[in-house]
Amino acid sequence: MKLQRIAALTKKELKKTIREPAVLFMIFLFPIIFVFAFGASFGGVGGSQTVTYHIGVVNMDHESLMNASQTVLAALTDTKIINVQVYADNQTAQDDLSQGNVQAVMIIPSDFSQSLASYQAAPNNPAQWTNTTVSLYLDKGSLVATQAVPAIIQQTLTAIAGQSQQTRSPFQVQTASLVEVKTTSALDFIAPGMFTFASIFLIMMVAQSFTQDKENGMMKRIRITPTTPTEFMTSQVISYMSIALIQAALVFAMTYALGFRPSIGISTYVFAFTLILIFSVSTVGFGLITATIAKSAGAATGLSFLFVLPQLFLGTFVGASLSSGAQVAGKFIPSYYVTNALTSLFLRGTAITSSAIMLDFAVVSVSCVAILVVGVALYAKYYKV
Amino acid sequence: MDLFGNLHAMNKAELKERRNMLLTKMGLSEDAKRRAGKYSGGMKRRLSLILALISEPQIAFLDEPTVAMDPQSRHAVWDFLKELKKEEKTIVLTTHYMEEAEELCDRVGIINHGKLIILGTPKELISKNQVNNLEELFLKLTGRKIREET
Repeated sequence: MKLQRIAALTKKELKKTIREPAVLFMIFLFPIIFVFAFGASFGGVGGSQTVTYHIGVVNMDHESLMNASQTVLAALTDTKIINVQVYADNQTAQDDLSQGNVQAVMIIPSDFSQSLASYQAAPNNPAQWTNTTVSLYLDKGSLVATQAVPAIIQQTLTAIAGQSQQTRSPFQVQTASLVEVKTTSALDFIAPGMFTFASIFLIMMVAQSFTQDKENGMMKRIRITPTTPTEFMTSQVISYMSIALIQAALVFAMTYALGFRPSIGISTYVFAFTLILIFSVSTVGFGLITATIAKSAGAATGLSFLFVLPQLFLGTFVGASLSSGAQVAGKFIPSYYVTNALTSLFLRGTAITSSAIMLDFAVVSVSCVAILVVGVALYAKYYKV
Repeated sequence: MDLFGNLHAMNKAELKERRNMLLTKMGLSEDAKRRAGKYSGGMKRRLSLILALISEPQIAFLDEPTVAMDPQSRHAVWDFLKELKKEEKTIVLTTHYMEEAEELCDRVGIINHGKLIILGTPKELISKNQVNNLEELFLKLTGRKIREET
């Protein structure tokens, strides 16, 4: 394998991209304009995604005489919109929160029953109350969790104390994850999907590029040189990974300009960009599959939507608004795992070494390489590379 | 040109020298900076020839290298192919221009309906078949009926 050939072919592919105004628009301008239009339009708006909230509860209150915590759990369950999952310890609950399995974790303090009892004994004398704090950890990756869950918890606690909403209470709900108080906008929730969204359109570009090279005889010319199939394919992967990297940087710049500020470190950024780069490998694979079927560049554009649309609707920010069936279908496409991992990294602050991120990373890596292998095999079979 | 030179693993200096020489010979030096997509048909044919010969191959297969070229371009290509002959490079070319075959080729084969029907030096073929040139020979052997190319 000669680096000189790979570099020459990579340069050729990148030059071709730069020289085609339509391609430049689709790859770079379209995602930027889309992010800007979407971010500017909906950036400050909230939204509703689901009517059932999954909440983890760690019950530290083991008071035997008056188990008020059980009353709280029953009251939450009775709301019909809260799905309670009880955890034995905070660590396990936090792990599930960081992986997006629950949207909030509520810690019921050990003196909760005592506090309720003190209130009920002297409801009009706050000096007699045993004040306590119910800690609440929220999933920053869920718009509904940050907006709806604290209110529901507060309302439930107020109700079991038998108070009207206006009176004082010995229970204080402290949203622990809001130590760094942050208003989360719709842009924060769609931003991770935007990165995936931009890369997906590379499928169309790859398919067009390959069919154009077939049509104008470039592929034949390359075949009569000593270039090996490995060198050729390596150059293609490098080219489109480079484009994906630039795309991701531009999308990030635009989302940043619109106010997207994930609280993550450099290593997480590097990991996120690496994930996007690996995802771009699948776009070359899908592009090759499309180019195998398509007879012309025009046909390639249309056929590429067979792969673009499912990835777009089931695997980007759009997916969160789809039916549960569609969300399950999303689990069979790579873009879902990229968006999921980016959401965990950017919004939930999940560590890159966590099992959830590692699982997403593994699925993306394996599936993208498999798609590339299938694409190369099909293209090589029908059009010798 | 640089792409194909690099695909043939030519070194930078050698590639530059060869590229400049070919551009000059093919009369494309002044248009070297223009995009090939904007070239005329004849210029594209000449560029195509440069790409085929950039790596200085010992043997070259040229498929109608002067088709659609103006007389000046055609003669430039002929001169260049004659130079390659002098350098003892082997060239296999197909053409429908019999004067081109007569001018350039050491040996000429006429293929009719996919079969090689005659082979020899232009002089041999002309004298043996008692014709004035290869054009006459071609018509004599293949007939005057117009054929649709498929």
